Amino acid sequence: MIPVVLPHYLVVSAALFSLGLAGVIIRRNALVIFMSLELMLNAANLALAAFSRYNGSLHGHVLVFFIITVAAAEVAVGLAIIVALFRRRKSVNVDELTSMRL
Amino acid sequence: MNLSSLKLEMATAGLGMLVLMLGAFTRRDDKRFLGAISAIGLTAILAWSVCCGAVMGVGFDGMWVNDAMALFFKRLFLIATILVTVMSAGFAGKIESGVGEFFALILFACTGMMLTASVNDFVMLFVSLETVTITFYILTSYLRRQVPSLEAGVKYLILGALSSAFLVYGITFIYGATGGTSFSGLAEFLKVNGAGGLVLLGVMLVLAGLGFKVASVPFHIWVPDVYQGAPTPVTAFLAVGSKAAGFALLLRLLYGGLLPMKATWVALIAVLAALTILYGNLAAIPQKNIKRLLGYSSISHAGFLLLGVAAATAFGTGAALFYLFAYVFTNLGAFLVIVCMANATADDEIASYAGLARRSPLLAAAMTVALVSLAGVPPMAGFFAKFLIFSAVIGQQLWWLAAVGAVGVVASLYYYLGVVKAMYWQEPRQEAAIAVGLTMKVALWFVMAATLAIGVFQGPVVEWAFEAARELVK
Repeated sequence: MIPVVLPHYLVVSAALFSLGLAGVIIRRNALVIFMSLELMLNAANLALAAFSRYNGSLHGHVLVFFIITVAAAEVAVGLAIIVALFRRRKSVNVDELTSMRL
Repeated sequence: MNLSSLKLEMATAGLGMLVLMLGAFTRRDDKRFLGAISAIGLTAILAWSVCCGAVMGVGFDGMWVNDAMALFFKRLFLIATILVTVMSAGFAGKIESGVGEFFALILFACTGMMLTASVNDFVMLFVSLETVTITFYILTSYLRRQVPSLEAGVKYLILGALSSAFLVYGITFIYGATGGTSFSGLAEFLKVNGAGGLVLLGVMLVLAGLGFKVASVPFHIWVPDVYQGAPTPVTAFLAVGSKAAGFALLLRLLYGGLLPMKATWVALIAVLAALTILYGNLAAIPQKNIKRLLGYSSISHAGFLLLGVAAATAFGTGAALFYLFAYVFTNLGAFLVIVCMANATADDEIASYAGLARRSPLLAAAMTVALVSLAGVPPMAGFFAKFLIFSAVIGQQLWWLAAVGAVGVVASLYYYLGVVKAMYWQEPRQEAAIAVGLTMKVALWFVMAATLAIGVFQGPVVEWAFEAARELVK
């Protein structure tokens, strides 16, 4: 039985962050991209909670609460915008967002 | 002490809620009166900050600093927001629904910006920055039946959230390394351990997040599309308010937490400044849409502001603060004209500005004053601002940066004067005169007068900016 220590959490967090970033870069659906962005924020949350536990201070936990709140606000606004765009365009494919050019 | 040092922000947020409430009880046709309430309320808060509303000092366990620089930025944001609310009142006819909310959101964004000016802790940095950014997501996509506005909103949302993710991940590493979230804790850690490993990675990620806010290369990709698609007053607010908030945070962080690694960040900011100036000015040249043009021009101005930061002296910082102040009036002048023009011609193409001098001499004159000042021609405010920045850079013997800046200025003359040429020396598409409302006329005259006055009588503003900078850069 290997004890779970800080580096384990950091590796998982880095993996989540990379998965999120890869999703943002590769996927073309605005909703999936948005989901990947939330994954990146939660990677930060995981690392913060782990650091907080191993640093023995509560600052990290407090910041996690702020990040969760801000992420919720961002989701509320973001989904509303994506839904409004879908109503106009009948598509949320980001490759089709080309109405503005030089 | 703690709560009273937040008086100005609380008053602004309270005004926002008042406007939101009044919006619910106002008839649809009378909504412009909400703009008047916002502007008058903000003017009162500005006057209050000058006479007695400003409580100086450190509060909330060191998270919050009210010093001369914080106050400088707060007043700057208040002035910018007043002009933006006046501009929005002229624009309100194009907003289908939710005019009250539009003004309330502008006031909430202003509150967020005022918070950024006093930040001295990473938690505060994150929360104040997101207050501004999330509000701007809504404002950008406010014309929700028009595809360009929605498209701009989605682009800003995705890239903005991406930069927030980098910022948060960076803060995480800084917290992990230093065991705290305060700027002073980071400075002490760097002094003892030097920059390296986790903490360096964290700092770079945070700087990337702030680079997005100030629209510096290579984090500028969102700017042209968002500036073009967003409602014009929002574009103006993004250009002056959001950018200045980014610079407030950047200066706080560089001189608060990152002072021990000054040599590193000076080199980094200098390179970013050079790239930003070159990219912004060269990419602006072929533009055909005036808002997009000003988007690229705002990238180049971020570059000039970074030049002042890269000089890394009290003089350079003071020059950057003066530049921001001049930029507020100059840039808002240009956007006031764009709002009036869009009401008359329904598009933002530069071709529609042909022969504007014959259709409306006032609009053509105001646009000329703004563009000439943006280009940095004497005796406008923009000239003296650039003069200060270049003296700061040359004073630090950064000759190559000064040379890059000079190339940028020459390139910018070409595209700014191209618009002036169209307005005065080209045949108009239509002859019909353009009517300008009384409020907009007053605002246009005021902004023109301010742009000239700051250029000619620079003394008081320079004194004020340098006092703020001296307190930051001890």
